[in-house]
Order: sequence, then C-alpha cells, then structure tokens
Amino acid sequence: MNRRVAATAVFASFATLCAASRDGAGSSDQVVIAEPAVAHETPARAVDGIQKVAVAARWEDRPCGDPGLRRWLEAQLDPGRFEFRCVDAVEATDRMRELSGQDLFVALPGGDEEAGLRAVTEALACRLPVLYPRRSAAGEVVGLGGVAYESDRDMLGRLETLATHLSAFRRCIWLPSMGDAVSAYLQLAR
Amino acid sequence: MGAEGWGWALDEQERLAREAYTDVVDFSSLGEAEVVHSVWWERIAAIPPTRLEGKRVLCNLDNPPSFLLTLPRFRHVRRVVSCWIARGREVREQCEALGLPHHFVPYPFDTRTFFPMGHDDGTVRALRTRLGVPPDAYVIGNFHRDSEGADLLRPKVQKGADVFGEIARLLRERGHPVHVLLAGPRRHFLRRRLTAYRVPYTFVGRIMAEDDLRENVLPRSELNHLYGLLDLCLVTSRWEGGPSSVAEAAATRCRIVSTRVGIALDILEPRCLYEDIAEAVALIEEDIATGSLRSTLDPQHERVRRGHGREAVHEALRALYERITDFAPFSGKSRSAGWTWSSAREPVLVKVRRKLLGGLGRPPSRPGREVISLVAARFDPFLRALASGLRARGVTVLANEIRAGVNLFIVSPPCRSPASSERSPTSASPGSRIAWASAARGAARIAR
Repeated sequence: MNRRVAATAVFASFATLCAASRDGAGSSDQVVIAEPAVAHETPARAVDGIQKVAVAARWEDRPCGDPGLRRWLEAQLDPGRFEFRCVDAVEATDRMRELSGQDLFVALPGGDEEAGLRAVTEALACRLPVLYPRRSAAGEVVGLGGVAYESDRDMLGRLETLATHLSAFRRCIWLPSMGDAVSAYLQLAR
Repeated sequence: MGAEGWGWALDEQERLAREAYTDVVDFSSLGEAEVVHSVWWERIAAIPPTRLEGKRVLCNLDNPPSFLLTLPRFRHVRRVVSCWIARGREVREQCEALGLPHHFVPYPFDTRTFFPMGHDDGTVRALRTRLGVPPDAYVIGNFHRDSEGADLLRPKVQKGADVFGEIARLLRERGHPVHVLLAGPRRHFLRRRLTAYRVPYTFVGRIMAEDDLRENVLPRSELNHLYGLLDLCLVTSRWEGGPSSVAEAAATRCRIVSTRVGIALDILEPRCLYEDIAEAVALIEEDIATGSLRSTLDPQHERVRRGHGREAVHEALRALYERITDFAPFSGKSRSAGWTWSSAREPVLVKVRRKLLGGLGRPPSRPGREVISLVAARFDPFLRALASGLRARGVTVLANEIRAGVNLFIVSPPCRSPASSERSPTSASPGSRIAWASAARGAARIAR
C-alpha cells in the first residue's frame, strides 16, 4: 500500500525502515518519526536500598518479551538488592503509573518486537534507565540512557552495572518529544 | 559549496574538499556547472530544484542517514542527490542498507595544521601555566559546540554534553584528579553543568552569557596546542558524521575515547570505543592508573595520516569522477507535491567536462493554514496526542474524512492481532504510518 499510494512512508524507527527496505518497500519518500510515549511524565522516585526492576509482559494487547526468560530473571534476582515487577496493564496511563514507581527497566527479547520497542519508550519516558538486548532495535531508542547485554549469560552483570550508576544513566536519557513528532508531521503537510 | 562561514567544521570541510579537487575539476557558477558538490545537504535544499535539473548532484553526508531521515526536509534532497559522499564505514553501511547511491571519500583532514606536540613541548607547558591548569591534573576535554544555538542553556543533543558531565562527575566522585579543558563557542551548557557538579574546568575563550559564535572560534593552530595539553579527548556524541575531533586527536597523538559513532569507528582502536557511561569511566580509570591508552596512539596516528590526508581524499575524488556517469543526473521528477526552499547564497560550483541533460522542476509551495486528516481504524494514544498537538499549532484536524482540501492524510495501519500470524496489507512495514503529501492526488486515489 505504501508503494502504491503514499507520497511518504513514515517509520517509527530507523531499524524498521531498514527492515522495510530489505523487503523492497522503497519507492515512496521515507522519513523516521519516533512515536513518543504520550501519557504524562512522572518524576522518577528517589532510589533507596532495594532497586525496583520492571519488565513488560505486554504493550496494550500485544505480548512483550519471552515469558520463560522473564520467569528466569525473576528467579535470578537477589531479593536483597532488587525487587521484581512485571508490568501487565493494557491502558497507557496505568502502565505509566506502574512504571513511574520503578527504578530501572529490563527489555527482553521475544514477543512482538514493535510492542517491545514501545514498552521501552514508555519506560524511558518515566525516566527509567533500560537494560536491553544488544541485537535489538531498542538500542536506537535507549541510546546512552541504558546498558546493552548480549545474552542471559551477561545479563545480571550488566544489570549490576546499570544499577550502580543509575542516577547518571537516568540523566543521560534523551527522547524526542510529542512536539517533535507534531513538527515533523506538520513539515510533511507543507 | 555548503560551508557555514563561521570557520568551524563545515567550512573546514569545504576548504579541504576544494584543495583535494585540484586537477580533478574546473570550478564554475551554478548555471554553468555540470556537477554540483555540496558539503552540506541544507545548501542543496536551499537551491530551487529547477536550477539543478540535468546536473549530477554530489553531497557529503554530514550525519548518518539514520539521523538525517528524521528530518522531513531531507526527503526532498534525497531525491535530488545523484551520489552521496560517505566518509566512514557506518555511513557506508547505512547507505547500502537503504539502497542510497554512494561513493566512499575519506573524511578530509588537514595533516599540516594538526601535529603531535605533547606535554613537554615548551609552548604547551607555557600554555598550561598561563591557563592555570593544575600540574597534577588529568586533563580531559573536547572542542565541540555543546549547547543549542536557540537556547544556550540546553545541551545540543547530538554532542552529548550531558553525558560528558556525568562521566566527569563520576570520575571526580571516584577520587580522580580530573580537570576539564573546554574551548570553542557555545560551551554554555557544559560550563554550567560542571559548575553544578563541582568539577573544575578551564575555558579557553571569553565567557559570555549570550551567543559567542563570533567571539570564541579559535584558530586551528591554537586548537593544536590545546590537544597537546589534553591527557584525554572525550567524545560523547549520540550520532556523528565526523567528528573532526577524532581525526584531530589521532593526528596530534592525543589519547581519546569515544562513543561508537561516525569516523571514530574507522580511525580509533576498538578499545577506545565505549557503549555506555560505565564503560567510558572504566576505560578512563584504567588509563589514569596504567596509561593503557598510550599503545593506541601509534596505530591511530598512522591511520589518520595515511587515510585522511589530502592525497587520500584527492585519489578518492578522482575515482569518483572516473565513474561519475554511473550516477543519474537530477531529472526534476518528484513524487511530493511540496517543495520549499529558502533564499540561497549563490554558490561556486563544480564543472566537469561532460554535458548533461535537463528535466522538469517543481514550483515552490507556500505553507498556509493546514488541514490534516487522520485515517485509522482505531485511534491509539499516539494518534490522539498527535491530533491535539496539531490542533494546538492551528491545524484543522479531521478524523477519517477523505475529501478535497486536505493537505495531508496520515493513514495509520491497523495493528497486527497477536492471535493471528496474518499481516494486513498495510502492516507490511511494521511501525509505519502512511502519509500523502498531496491533497488532490491523495484524495483522488482514495476515491478510486
């Protein structure tokens, strides 16, 4: 449909655009306009002794992350250091409220890739630094606001790194705003 | 063409490109030129497309396509450019992924201006004393513009001045005698941040609250002395086409660590690259303790000297012109209805010995009060927020209305059902929204 009728195809990330280019969807103009989280941003809570680790089970009605890996992570976390929370709300405002009470977010491979990316975006909007799989599109969104892991073998070590410098990582989070998205669409209209 | 006129990176790029073009082309005015080469895509955007018809247009990628594609205005230039000049591996790989016609020309670098001086050089020692940099300090810095021109108290996101501040603070908190050296214009954000973090710094220039772009651009020879004073050049950029500082640090044999961006991937040793701030802090701590980065200086210096000097760039440009007919001239054909440009400086352009054919151009369109129609089976939170954001900017927003007089239709594909493996026709590109930029054409097509 993009090829047939659209003057411009808009992609939510560069990784998505590259995937579409590989599939041969390349005849219309292409732009990348990131879709920021839209629920209100809540200041992150002050970090105390035990850090709260969030993962997402779903984004809206779409599944995020491998459930087996989620259970594995919960079992591996030292309860003296970390508290595990699986965010499972369908409504954006509920998800954002849950996320705002956490300290950091772990993105897991598997599930619906785009839904996983949107969950990461919402976590960052709540000022949660993100631990993300290196070979995923999440790195494009997280940038310097988080730490990458290779596999379950280095995940816990990398989580420790993120937790150690949590405040510094939090201050390096950068996300495009809704205003940026509006400006970009407005430019397409002109 | 394409320089900014401030004596900073793009101006230097244009100067070096002109030098490297010696014996390859004759320079001419835009009207006579057969090939137009710009070091900055914004200058191409500023030329009415009718004036580019029939010409082969070469343009340096000053940033990676992954960033440039976030700028809607870039799509017009993408259509016009015959061949993109990729100056590094990252940009080349992205061009290949996107199917952009490109040719590799090394990032040009002036090896005469930047040369090793070292801490023991008399000029550098005198400079250190004059600036009052403590003798036992580990001096880190860079000479980027770190603040937004429109709001000097905000960091320029690209350069990651916020990241620099965090790394410097962590190092100080861990007891290292770090002292920051800053130079160049628009360092307002980082100066404030370092003050707030109580990280000692020296700024080479006149401290002004207002924009200091005309005041604090330093001669390159002075920058060379400052590299001699640094213990470590710290690059914290989120994305880059360059930066020049990578080549400058390598040429001056200054230790450097950098995010994995731009030409850092081509010039620096792998262990000088970091992925996150914790990794950067660990690298720097190891260097403070053991001088571990010293062994990276020789290979980096050799790489920049051999691969980025005038001869290397000259050879690459010559190779480009040998295959210039592989790249199609701009035909003037365009799918987009809208094409706007600002008044252009009359550039000096490049003429090669080949006559090219012209095509059709497009007239400019003037922005007015826009009408945008959102077309979707379901209005998710993003679309709702987009609609209210557009309304707040004075746009008339319609929902699922397909009629004449609409400037833009934004068509959102339905989400895939998690229970179904089938994909709808519009979800062939997950995450995409479809925008028609022409009211008449878009409406007509929908009506059919």
